[in-house]
This record gives sequence, C-alpha cells and structure tokens, in this order.
Amino acid sequence: MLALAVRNRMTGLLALFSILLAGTSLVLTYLTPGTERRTFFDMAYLGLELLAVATPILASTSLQILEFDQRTCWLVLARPVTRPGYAAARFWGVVGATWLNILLASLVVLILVLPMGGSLDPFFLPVFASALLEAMIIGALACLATFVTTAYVTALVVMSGVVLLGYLSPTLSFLAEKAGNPAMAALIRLVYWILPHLSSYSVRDLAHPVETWYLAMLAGYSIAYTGAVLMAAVMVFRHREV
Amino acid sequence: MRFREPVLAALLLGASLYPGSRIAGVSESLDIGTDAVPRTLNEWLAKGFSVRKASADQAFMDILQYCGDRAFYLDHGEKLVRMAGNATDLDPRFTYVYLFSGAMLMWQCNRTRDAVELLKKGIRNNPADKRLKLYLAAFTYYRLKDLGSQVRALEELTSLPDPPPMLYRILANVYLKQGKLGEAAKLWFVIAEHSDDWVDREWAKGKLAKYGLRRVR
Repeated sequence: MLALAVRNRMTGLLALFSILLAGTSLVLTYLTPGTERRTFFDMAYLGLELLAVATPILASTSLQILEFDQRTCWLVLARPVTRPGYAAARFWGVVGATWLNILLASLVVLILVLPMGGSLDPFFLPVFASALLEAMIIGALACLATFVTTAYVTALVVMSGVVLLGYLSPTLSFLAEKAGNPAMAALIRLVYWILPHLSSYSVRDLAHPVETWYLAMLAGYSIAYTGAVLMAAVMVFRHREV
Repeated sequence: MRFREPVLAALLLGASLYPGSRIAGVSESLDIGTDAVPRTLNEWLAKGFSVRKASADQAFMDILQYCGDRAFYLDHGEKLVRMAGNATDLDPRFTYVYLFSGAMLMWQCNRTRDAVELLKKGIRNNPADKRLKLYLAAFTYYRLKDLGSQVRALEELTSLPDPPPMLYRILANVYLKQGKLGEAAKLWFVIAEHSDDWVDREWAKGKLAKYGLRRVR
C-alpha cells in the first residue's frame, strides 16, 4: 500500500509542491530585509503543516477512485486479505507517503537554511514532529471518510469540513463556556471532544517552542485518537459493499 | 466480537481526553497573545487557523513596500500607523516591526506621538526586549532636542547584536549634524562594505564620494 501511495501521481505532485513551497519561502525572504530568517521559517513551517493536512486527504481520495470506482480492491480482498488488514494497510500507506513528503520538505528546508547561517531554528524539531503526528490523525480521518462515502468529492468536502472545524476547536471550547443553556454547552463540549484538536498541532504559531513533554502528550493524543478513528473506519468498512 | 470495534473506539477516544486537555491548555498558555480582539476577517482567519506569524510577515512586507513607495512621502506615512498596528496585532512579539515602523514614523515622518505609542505597545508586549526601550529613549532625547543623549542611546543600540542597517544611517546623519565627520565616515564605511542591502551600500558610497573619502590601506 505504501508503494501504491508513493507511486500515486497525486503524491508525486504533492512532493513536487513541497519542494516548491520550501523554495518559495527562500524567495519571500528577499521581500523582508531584516527579518529574512523569520520569514523563511514561518513560511517553511506553514508549508510543512499544509503538507501534513493536504497529502493524506488528497492521497486517500485519489486511492478511493482507484480502489472502489475501478474495483481494484476486489483483487486485494480476494487474496484473501481481511478487511481490518486492508484498512490498516491503506492507512499506513497514506501516512507513510505523507511522512516521506514531510521528510523531503524538511530536508529541503535544512539545505536552504545553510546559506542563512546554518543554525537550526528552535521551532524546527517540534514543528517537524507535530507535522508527522498530525499526518497520522488526518490519515485516519481520511481513511474513515473514504470508507463512509462512495463519492470522492463527498469525501473531500467532508474531510475539509472536519479539518476546518478541527482548527477552530478552541472557538468551540470558548462557545461552550459562553453558552447560557447547560444542555447546549454539553452538546458543544461533546462535539469539541469528538473533533480532532488540530490547532494544538500548530506549534509554529506559539510564543515559545514547546517542550518534550508537550510533544509526548501530543503523541499520546494522536495515537489514541487515530486508534479510535481507525476502529470506526474498520467498523464501517466491515459493512460496506465493495 | 460484534461490539469489539465500537467499544475499542470509545475506549481510545476516552483515552485521548487526558492528553487532549493537557495540550489544549498548554497551547492556550503559550499563545503569542493578541491584546486586541480580531477586527477584520483576515485577522480572525489568521487567529483561527494559526497563521498569525505568517500573516504578520505578510503585513510587514506590505509595510516595506509602502515605505519604499512615493505615497509614503506624499502622505507623510499616514497609513504606516495603521499598517504597523495590524502587523503587531497579529504577532505582538514581532519586535522588528515596532523598531522599523517606529524609526520611520519618528525620523522620516516626524510623527512623534504615533512613534512613541507604537514603541510603548512594543514594550508592553515584549518587556524583556532592550532595543525597544533604547529606541524609546532615543525618541525622547530627539523630542527634547538633547542630541548628546540621543547619540549615546543610538550608539548603545548599534552595539547590540544585529542592529538594523537603518540605525547606522540615522546615527551617521546625527554625527554629521554635530559636525563629527570622522565618526559619520566610519559608519559610512561599515555600511558601504558590510550592508546586505545594495540601496544602503550605494547611499553610503555616495556619501563617501561626496566628501571625497577613501579607505586608507
């Protein structure tokens, strides 16, 4: 599945995009004399996070076309491969391809930073780690969305909505605090806990680099949440007609 | 068997609650912190999607473009106050915006009140930053026409790491006003030989040529 995801044209395009994005960060530094390093890293980090979000969504939806619309999943399931095994392979294929893209983009960033003095920004490692973890969560959600819906456009729209709401999760928490009605507050809080806390992965936009324990907590959250979503995906896929 | 996956999913979601609450709390406490509620859609989106630093960079690019434009001289930097306010609302820790915009407002546009207000905002948001305080001191001496103290504050600023190139230009101009051609020439040589910006280098070379100065080998 990893080989399939890597061979996927969409993944290749995104890899190219990741290199271009890192290169663009360097070009933008010429527009901000005096704050070149800051601009370069801000843009590069934004690109890494964009990759962590966009790659699993686009790779999953393009695999959906290949596997379900063109029925290539029949060949795999007839081998026989169990449905949970198929779902797990699909998840790790997409996540693995995304991790490779993030690694590639990070290497480009590291190479480009050499002419700027070469010293590593303190945000680099936390941003890199959180991008890898975020790719896991988005990969699991994309897997679930493509198993729930039959049309890839619907999966794309649903995923975009979940990602948008996931980034706005602090707003949901704020709304729950301000809601006058306790039932409404409980409902908003339930939605808040079901949605992924994607804003917590944007460690690049914080005042200081996060510490190791924060990344450990983020890893714990990512693993538990990804596991829960994957279980839901397996449950849906078990009952799906292919 | 039938309920294994839903039960596992519920258990795992429950297990995510503790680390989820910890990371949410920490990211709020480490927030770059805006002392203004988002006013425009752009600001709200930047906050919502955690792109405040990148948006502040873009706002700084707008400031630089505006300052290099003829409109800046025609309206005496009127828009700069708002633009610097926007950039620093997005990222209150972006100290270079306070320094650059403050200096432009003070020494290029003669907008003392706006420059001082911007610097005060910068100090409020970055109390540990020494440069902002020194800039404010230099502004105050400039306003009081205390050229000697202004020069001392500017000299201290240029001795700090990574001083903005513009500061050398300002200090060189003040030296020239005081009749210290030798001191001004030293700074022109520094700018001509070490500045990353070719505009600054050409300016310094022009000054050196005007006074017929050359480096003695």
